[in-house]
Amino acid sequence: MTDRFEDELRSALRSAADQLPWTLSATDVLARLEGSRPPSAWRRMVWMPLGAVITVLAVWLLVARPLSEPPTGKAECRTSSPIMADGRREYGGPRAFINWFSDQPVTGPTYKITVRTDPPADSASATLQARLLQGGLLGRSETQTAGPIDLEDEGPGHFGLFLVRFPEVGCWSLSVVVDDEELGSATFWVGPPIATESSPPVAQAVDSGAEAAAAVLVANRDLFRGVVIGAVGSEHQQGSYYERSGDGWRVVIRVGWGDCRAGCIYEHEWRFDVSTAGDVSLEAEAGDPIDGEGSAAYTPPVPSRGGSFTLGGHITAGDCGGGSAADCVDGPVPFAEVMLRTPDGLAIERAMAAPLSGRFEFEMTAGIYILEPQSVEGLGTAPAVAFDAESVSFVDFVYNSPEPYGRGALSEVLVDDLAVAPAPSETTVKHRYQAGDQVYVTSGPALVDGAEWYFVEPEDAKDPARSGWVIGVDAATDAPTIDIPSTGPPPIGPCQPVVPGQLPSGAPAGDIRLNQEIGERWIARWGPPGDRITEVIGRFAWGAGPPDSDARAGEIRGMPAWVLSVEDPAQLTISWEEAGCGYGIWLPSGMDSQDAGEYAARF
Amino acid sequence: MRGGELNDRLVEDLRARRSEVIGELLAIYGRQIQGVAYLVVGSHADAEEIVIDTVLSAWQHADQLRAPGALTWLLRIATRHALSRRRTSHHVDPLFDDVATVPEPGIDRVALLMALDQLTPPVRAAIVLHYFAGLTVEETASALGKAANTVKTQLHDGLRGLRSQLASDDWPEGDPSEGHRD
Repeated sequence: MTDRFEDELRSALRSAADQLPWTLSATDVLARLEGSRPPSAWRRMVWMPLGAVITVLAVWLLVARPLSEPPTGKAECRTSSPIMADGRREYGGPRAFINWFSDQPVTGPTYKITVRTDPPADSASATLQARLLQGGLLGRSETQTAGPIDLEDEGPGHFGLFLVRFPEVGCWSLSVVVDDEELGSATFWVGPPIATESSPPVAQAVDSGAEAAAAVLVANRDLFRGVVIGAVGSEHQQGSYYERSGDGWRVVIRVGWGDCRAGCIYEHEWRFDVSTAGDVSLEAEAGDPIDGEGSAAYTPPVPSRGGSFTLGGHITAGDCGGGSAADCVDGPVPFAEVMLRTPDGLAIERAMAAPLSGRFEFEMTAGIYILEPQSVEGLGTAPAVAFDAESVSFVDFVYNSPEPYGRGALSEVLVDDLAVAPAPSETTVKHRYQAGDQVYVTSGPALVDGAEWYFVEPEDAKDPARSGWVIGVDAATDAPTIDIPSTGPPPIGPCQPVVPGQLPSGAPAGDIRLNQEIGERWIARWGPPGDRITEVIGRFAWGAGPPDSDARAGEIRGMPAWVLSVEDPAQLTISWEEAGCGYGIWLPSGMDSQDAGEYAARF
Repeated sequence: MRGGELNDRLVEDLRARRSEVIGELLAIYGRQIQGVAYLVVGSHADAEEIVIDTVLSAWQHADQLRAPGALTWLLRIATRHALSRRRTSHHVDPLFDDVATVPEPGIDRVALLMALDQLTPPVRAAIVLHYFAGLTVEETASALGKAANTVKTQLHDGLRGLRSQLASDDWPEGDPSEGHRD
């Protein structure tokens, strides 16, 4: 049996928990996922400093695993998108770029990586740090000795040649650090492994090993993208075959291009020897040059439906609306960033425009995505674009206007039955807003089929069911559907939130993350968990005397304030009164009263 | 209060570490995990951290997840994070300390939080999992890594302590192991 007390207890516990506001989103978890790679846990690969020019050679790992074991984690490895500079593929940025010449084996399982810094950095203090990422988190890494080889003819700013051995298959992040400052980093997939065990004794196993060796070659070279393992003569002539050779295998990879339906105009073939120990060597290469002019150049095919898709584009500056700033001329916007998002706003990957061409590139699986260019001071930005990865492969952005509206602004719906869709242009209706409803506009506009779409969230609560994309202009009347302020967020009642100048960490406060009435108070928040400021407005005005015997007098915004521990010594608050309104800010756990006073001075 | 179990599709998405599943996990279990965490640690800020820690742990150890029992599994992770945090923080979050200034029937929430705070952390966790999250005694035992009889004892001690702290003479004792959720 249960007694009345137990029923009351259940009710009271539920009631207490229900009082808590719910503010977390997937973004908070993903941010922690990204932030949970503590630098202290990195086991750094420290590289021998060189002279004016350093080039880096990476030795591809050998791991003692069965040949038939498939690589793991490749699907989750968000490899960096390449940017083209002076005809070469580079990764990373903004001031250091890594060339991963995965199609240029040197000796055995060895790959050449060139590091270039722009402007050229003092290589004497340069290091390259490597970390293994597993499931988005830190894995392990090991230091390898480096053997520098001078390659001065690579050009200015190019750094040394090293012999690197990656101890494990997986997703690796490489960072270029000069004088303890990270100048650039990029992520690469390394693997899958080639066996180091003795060769399989039976025919079936030998075939399996050869196929694995071919798979290794194909998987690790962008140039071989689309090559079919164990088949030559497919429609596009991208194939490979292999045969037993000595103590290992001979792997032949052949690609064809140029009207392959009629038999291919051009062909190129590589012959590799792969030993049972995993050594890979290029035995012979023949055929038409792969770097010919125009259509004579070989370009790896984009995988068909179900595979991955490539979207590229350029970011250039327009005339800035007639402005006269020096940057407002037609041409690339160096290092401008573009964010790839899911339709519900989750950030997937960030790419950077190449400094010379302004080109950026993403690879993705099939689906609908949002491409959101990031604002550049003085140049503004361009509207975001929603696209279907299967049908769009190129998007150009022109920066010539200031940011079109105050992102995060509270806006009024102007029409009845404004449909909320899960993605721009989708016909599914998640919810309908009515004229007069208040919503936060947190992303967009995304241009789809000539229409502008905005991502909105309800004003009263975080509610995914009522959050989504709405069209910004009525197609029939050409009238706006939402009144979006040019700046935001707007005031909330007579007492407005005081926007922090910075978070406790010193980072900018960024967008407001919660802005709603709870009980008789307004609560506003900025920053991620751990660096979060919660501001309570309308209460906590304590008058002249100290509100608590342990309260410490202080000053904030030039006004007297009290620093309180408020029962929980792990969480401090700063309270003050300003313009007839009471304010209290809750500081992150772990800050002591001295920290609070220091933060109040820069709040 | 008891949320639904994960369906097979969500489990597969979690094992495949698809980022979309994080939002769905939060939507299904977030508030319940936050509630358990808050009632154990007494701090909203810490509770939010625990929600994130729990989802991250689930993400990292998705291979251990089975669709039936997912709720208990998640709450076990959350409880362990909560008990770990509670070692350094043991006071009620004051942010909503005025929520019960309006007289309400039944147990005063602020008094309840203060009374919970007087219990030992393991007993408090058992009370929260059983009476708030709606786990059976056996599920609570599984979540806490204890024997069912140990949990019965903790629930008994916890109820007695809460009665003592709240309205000692108003609430006759019952046997928590015979609750209707069993």
